[in-house]
Amino acid sequence: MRQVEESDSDLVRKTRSGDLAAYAALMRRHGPRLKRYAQCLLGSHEEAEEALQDTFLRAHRAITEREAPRELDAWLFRILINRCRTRNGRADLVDRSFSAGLAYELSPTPPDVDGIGWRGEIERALARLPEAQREAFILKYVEDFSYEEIQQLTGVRMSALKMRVMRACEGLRELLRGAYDA
Amino acid sequence: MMPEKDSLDDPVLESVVRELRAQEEWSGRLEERVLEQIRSETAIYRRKMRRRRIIGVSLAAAAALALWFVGVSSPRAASVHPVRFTVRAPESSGVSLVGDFNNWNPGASPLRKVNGSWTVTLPLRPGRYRYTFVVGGRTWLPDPARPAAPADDFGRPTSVITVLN
Repeated sequence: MRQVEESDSDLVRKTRSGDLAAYAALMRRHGPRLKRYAQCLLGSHEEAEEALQDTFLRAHRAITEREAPRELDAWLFRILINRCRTRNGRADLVDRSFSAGLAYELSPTPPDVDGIGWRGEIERALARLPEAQREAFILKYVEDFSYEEIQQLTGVRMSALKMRVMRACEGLRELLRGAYDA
Repeated sequence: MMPEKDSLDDPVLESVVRELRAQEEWSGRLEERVLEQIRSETAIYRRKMRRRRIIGVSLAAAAALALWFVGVSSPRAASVHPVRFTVRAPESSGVSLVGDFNNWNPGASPLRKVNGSWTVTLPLRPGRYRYTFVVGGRTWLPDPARPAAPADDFGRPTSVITVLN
């Protein structure tokens, strides 16, 4: 017998009444995409998991203490974007773009493309982009949000968003062209 | 104005996006960590709310008493003084205060437990009051910190306090 999947609003309602299994179902439904965003942006599995854990805890508090969100997916993304920005702004975290850039500059030979693979090259290139460009690019092309949606999620003006995405594309193309052709 | 382009039209960037989109694994460990923390936060929140309710009841009772005193006292308004009552009863599950100031009503002035002692502060007008603590809802316990009053009609021990103007 086929099980009917419960809607987000049903699961949120159950969560508000203290049903933790319902909240776990929401995490399983939205978690993978959120985790992908955090990992792409922060570049570290551990930091991504911490940002996500923080996001889900804050979301649970908000759901149980205040009103339930209308569009859960976008609402969760908004929380996560802010958590990632906060993490990136923390002084005790290593500045990844600086470290990655330094690694390139100090390396006497070109990066070992075969050693780190295409995936590694992409992560290294992403880390070298300014955070605002990285955020805009991932939201636009990896998470497939429209510019209007990104504007609502990030609070950044449309023209600035488009500029950031364009610059990110140029930067990635430039950084990865050699590795891609190799 | 920047042109809006939804497709990348670039094999390098298309490959980047394909690679990044492929990463979608979910961690049961992360889920369990979040749930564990929620359980712990919920327990702390419930304890906090219980304390707030007790404080709320005490404050409401104190406010009601204050209003009552304003209503029944002489037209020559005397000032109200906060008077603190404290008794040590670490094993007890609940302590309340009864006396001339609350019509000997055991539900009117519950005490709050702080580090093994029970305490409540009531606004009292100047005067002389007989009172006692009720421990565990049954046992009358006179205040060891204040003078004993003559036993009441039923022979129960009480204390006496005089609030000066």
